[in-house]
Amino acid sequence: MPQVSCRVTLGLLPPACQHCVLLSGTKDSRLEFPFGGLIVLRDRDLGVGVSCRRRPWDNKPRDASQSGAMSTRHVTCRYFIHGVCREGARCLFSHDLTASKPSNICRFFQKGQCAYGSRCRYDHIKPSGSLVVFSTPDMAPAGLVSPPGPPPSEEPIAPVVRTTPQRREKKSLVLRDRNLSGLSEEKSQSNPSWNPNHGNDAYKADEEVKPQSYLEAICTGLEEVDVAQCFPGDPGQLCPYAAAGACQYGEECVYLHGEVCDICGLQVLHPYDQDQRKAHEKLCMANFEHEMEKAFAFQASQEKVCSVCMEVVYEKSSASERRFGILSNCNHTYCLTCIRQWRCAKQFDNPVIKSCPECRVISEFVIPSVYWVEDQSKKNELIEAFKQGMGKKACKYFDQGRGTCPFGGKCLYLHAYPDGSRAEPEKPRKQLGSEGNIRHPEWMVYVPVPMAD
Amino acid sequence: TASFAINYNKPEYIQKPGPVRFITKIWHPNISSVTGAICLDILKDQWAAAMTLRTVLLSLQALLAAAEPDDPQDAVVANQYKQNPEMFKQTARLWAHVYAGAPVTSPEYTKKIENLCAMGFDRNAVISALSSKQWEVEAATESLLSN
Repeated sequence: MPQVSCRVTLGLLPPACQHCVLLSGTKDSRLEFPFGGLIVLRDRDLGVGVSCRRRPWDNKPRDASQSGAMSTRHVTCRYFIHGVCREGARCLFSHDLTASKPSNICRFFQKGQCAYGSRCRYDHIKPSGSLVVFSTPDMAPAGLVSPPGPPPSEEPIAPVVRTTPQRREKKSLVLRDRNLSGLSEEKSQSNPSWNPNHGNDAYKADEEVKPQSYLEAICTGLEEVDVAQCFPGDPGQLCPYAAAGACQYGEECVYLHGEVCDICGLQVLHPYDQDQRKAHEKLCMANFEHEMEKAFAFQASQEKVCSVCMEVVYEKSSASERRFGILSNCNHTYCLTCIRQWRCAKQFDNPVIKSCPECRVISEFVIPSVYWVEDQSKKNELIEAFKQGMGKKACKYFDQGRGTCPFGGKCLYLHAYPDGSRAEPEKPRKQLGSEGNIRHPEWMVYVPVPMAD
Repeated sequence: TASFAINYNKPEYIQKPGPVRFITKIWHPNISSVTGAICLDILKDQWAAAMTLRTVLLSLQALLAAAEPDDPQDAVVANQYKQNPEMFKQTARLWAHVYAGAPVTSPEYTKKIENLCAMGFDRNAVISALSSKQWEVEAATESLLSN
């Protein structure tokens, strides 16, 4: 069953959603979800949709007593931040942005790189400012949150004075993190030379703290726990800098420096993790083969001359013209521009323009390609991929069943009704000649598919 | 050997051939003896984008070697070609000799041309008239006078 998503926009009140009731009368609009929860829409939210997400069968309010003993009230609810917390008032996490600690920091970004970039739904905050705890050198051995930072300075770093309750809480977060991940302890033991703050008061105080309960761990450092849990029994993390080419710490690095992969030449092979090695080698090999194939394809395409304009296709003046228009039924070379122009010619009969300008073999369609493909099996693959790409686009003639397509079952475009069901393939109508209304379909002359790399 | 001048304009589009016609007069079923217009499928509805000046000239050469009287451009010539192949051959030779510098020709036809030219008719008109009228001097004279 699909998830029901009620979207209420302040400008579109009253809400259309039966789950959501708007409470008005205050300066701010309040949106209450009957199964629990309250969202205050402020002026700045105007026009911004607020979603209430729940499954229709999930009517029973969540039993708060289940986890009542846990106190996570001071941790910001990460769903609430995005306006999608379905627990509402019963939520175990805080819905007050000002008084709670955000827990939606992107840990990948903190480690150095997040593949989602600006599209990431988590906050991209480098360890700094209020999150200074993450970047203090004594955190680094944990190897979880901060990337290998600058080399630890030799002079002892003055402990940050934390007086406010919030600060203290953060301090405990530091301590917690250190002790939480057994990993970090192991590391700091195995690298005793690493920690320059060993004599630091703050550090000593940290060591005296007793191990905390799971609950406390949750309360303080959610993402750290997550990370630790993500790598259970991780025999050691590879240094991403070394893997990318160079690590400024060299031998001193707390992270493992992998062995050099023969294929890609980077330090990416894990010394102990055989699975990782195999996986990488497989990936690398596949990459390598792909590159080789591309190189061969480029070589084969390089000197091909278009039989119409007599130009080397790869040397055409505009880059967009350096593409081949491959005919489905013969192997004569044309650039896409020329063959399309020819197949658009109006003064000839269809069989003439649909035939190859050189051998007159009729091809039903032209496949755009960056590389020249002649080998039949590769060409079949290309044709198959091309047809699949075309098959995702709705046919303009068929028009979801409202119209009729003269090409019937032969049409490459999608013939589907609004409900998604496919139309029965029918025989194509006889195509009219050049004087008739119906010409060859668009895909026979022009194919707007994105260029394959 | 004979040489023919051909007017061929560079095609403007890959979608249609450049206009082609013979400037040198020629006696051929598929070429107009008056205008030099050529009846050749590839220059009309069977054009292909990959064709070049070279392929066009090759096709013309083939056309000269093997006429297509069933798809004529010049009906008079085509008729003669079918009814009296020997006469067509001699006539074509004469035209090639007169206009394209071919070496040998029929002395009989040359004599008839000279006779009519002596009467004050234009040489080209005389040749056309005689060729069209199966080299019958009387019919040719009549046609020359009626023009």
